[in-house]
Amino acid sequence: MKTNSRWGLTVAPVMAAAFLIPILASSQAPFPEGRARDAVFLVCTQCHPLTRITDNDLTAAEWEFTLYDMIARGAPLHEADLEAVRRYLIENFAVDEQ
Amino acid sequence: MRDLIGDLINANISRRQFLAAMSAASFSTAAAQSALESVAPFIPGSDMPENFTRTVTGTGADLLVEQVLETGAEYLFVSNGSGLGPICDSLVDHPQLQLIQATHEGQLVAIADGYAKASGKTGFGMFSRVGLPHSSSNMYNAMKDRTPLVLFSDHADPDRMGTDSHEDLDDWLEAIKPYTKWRWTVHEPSRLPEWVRRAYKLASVLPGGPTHVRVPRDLLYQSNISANIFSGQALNIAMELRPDAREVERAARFLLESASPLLYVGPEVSQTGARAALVELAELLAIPVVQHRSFYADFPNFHPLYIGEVPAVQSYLNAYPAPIDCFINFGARYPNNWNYANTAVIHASVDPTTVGRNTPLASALVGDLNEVARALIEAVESLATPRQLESRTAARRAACSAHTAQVRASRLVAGSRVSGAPVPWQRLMYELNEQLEPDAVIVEELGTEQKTLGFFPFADDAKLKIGRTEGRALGWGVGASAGVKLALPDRQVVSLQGDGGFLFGQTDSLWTMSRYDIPVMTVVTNNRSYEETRWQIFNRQGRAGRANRDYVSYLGDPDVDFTKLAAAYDIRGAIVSNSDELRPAIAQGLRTLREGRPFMLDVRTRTLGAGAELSWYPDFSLADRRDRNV
Repeated sequence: MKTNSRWGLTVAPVMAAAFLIPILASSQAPFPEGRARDAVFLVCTQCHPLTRITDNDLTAAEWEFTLYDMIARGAPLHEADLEAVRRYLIENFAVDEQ
Repeated sequence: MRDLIGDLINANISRRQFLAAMSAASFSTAAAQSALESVAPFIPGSDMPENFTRTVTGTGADLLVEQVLETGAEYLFVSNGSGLGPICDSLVDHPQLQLIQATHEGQLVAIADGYAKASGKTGFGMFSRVGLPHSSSNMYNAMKDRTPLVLFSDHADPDRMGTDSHEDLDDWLEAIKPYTKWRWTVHEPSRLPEWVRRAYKLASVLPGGPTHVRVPRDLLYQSNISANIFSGQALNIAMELRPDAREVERAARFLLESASPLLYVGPEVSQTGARAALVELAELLAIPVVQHRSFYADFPNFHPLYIGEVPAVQSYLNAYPAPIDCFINFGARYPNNWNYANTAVIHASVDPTTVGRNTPLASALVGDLNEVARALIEAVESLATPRQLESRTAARRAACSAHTAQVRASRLVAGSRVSGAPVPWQRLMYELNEQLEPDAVIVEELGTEQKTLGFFPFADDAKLKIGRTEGRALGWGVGASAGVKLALPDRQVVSLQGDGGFLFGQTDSLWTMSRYDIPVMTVVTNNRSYEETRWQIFNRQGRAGRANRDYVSYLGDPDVDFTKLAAAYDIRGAIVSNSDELRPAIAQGLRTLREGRPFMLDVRTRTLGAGAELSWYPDFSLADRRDRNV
């Protein structure tokens, strides 16, 4: 049994007119630049902080499943960005299978 | 309007003057005419229509049943109580009122609530005098949703009232005051029809809500009582109140001048039958639409202008980067924490007490929302030519449509690419949508319903969404789905439940479904967890989260087999453990519905997110603590 904290899926609307708030942390080190990063910042921060990405240790399969779960729950990611975001999350944040 | 009716009845004004005054008070012609017809028999010199009132002599229960029938009621939802005895006697002579029995007062109210939400009619119920506390959870849900319900119970006989006798309290009604629009204890049997009428009227006029009437049992049994029963015609006054014309023009100008408007819709849209008009208004001005939490889909969720719930606004603004400068609330409560700075807020509602409750307004539109939407369309079209409208809206329409098409496409990919065991919930929804009838009704009580239902297209010519309640007190959905099917017998009805939600005492409603052959498919997304509760606790990383102690969320021990619960009520079912099994199991369920029987689908779904891997719960066995093994 893993004991570390996992991805939190609370999708409580923390809107607070979030579109008026500048996108967070565009220069944060763990997030390499690129179109996929912009999409991650835009879509994921609507409901939760980016630490939900950096503080978790999901495998590649778990990242893929989590991404599809988030989209199914309403994360408004464009289909045109989907594959790039999937690869971005796996390449930069996936941990090895134990 | 009350004063006008008084003047008419007292012959202070003529019928023509009455109609003119109603029109001046912003009532539509239809509403004014309906009001006139309803009070016509009371106008001096009027000929009373033969069937407008009639005198009935019988028991108190006879009077109650006669007046209930006059409202057009088809069903009386009941649960056990000796106070039903006089009603049963009356039904011998009133077979046209169909009883539907529940085994618990809370489920009775849920069934009546589902019936009312699906039919648009008032639901009538009756339960035992001591059943009131049981009923109150779903009474609260109905009050939050403003669902029209009239709920009767018997009551202590007059010679024992106020003596703290068994089965009695000094004041039953105080406890349900926040959950009801109106409540009453009857003391005079000849006035029973009057209280039934009042309860019905107050429950059904928007904003509606439950009413409760208690009748001492011996008054229901008392015989040879004469009273006037009013026809249904006298009880139905159309309330299509038109908004103030000047406010409509003001609002229309705000909409036309806005560079980036947003339409925020809530349940009053559906309750007033305004969905089609609102689509027309949104399309006319290319206004993107956001859905407030609602037990209906108040705008077609696959429409190119539908962008989802509040959090989705940010992505839309990325596609069309212009700050929202006009926020139009159509029949919704207000969103939490919205920043209204530099925004003209317009609020349209049937309920003047809610308008402007949480924010200053640029324009207030009080009236029937169908009338409001139609009036706005008319005003906009009178202020701008089609060419002007097109030039102002084309870019926004194109940007929003392209954005929403992309989002819907990615959601379908997300639903179809996942598979395996335990079953991904989104694959379940994807497959259900594929296999259900295009106009199926989805009755759901899932934790994040408006997100998990994104695979189903809801519209007047597509599927229909009912639930979850705004009150969100669990223990509503299974009973409600039975009520929905009673209201819409020719549409496929599927109830979506979580395992946690189902275990809130909802097994009782399977009895009702089975007894009356109510063919509903109950789908339990069985992830063995109160998932949202777990997320809340573990995402905060408090002491319980850091210690990986899931004190309350894990439901896997005992591992409930919901098909066995259903089997106890002679309801067939199937367990689905792998996504490959979904299609045949759903098909089996739909075949069973066609045969006229309910069905239970227990889908073992995957849970994920914070704490998903845990199966720990506080270890306690009373058996191990005994000194005597008895």
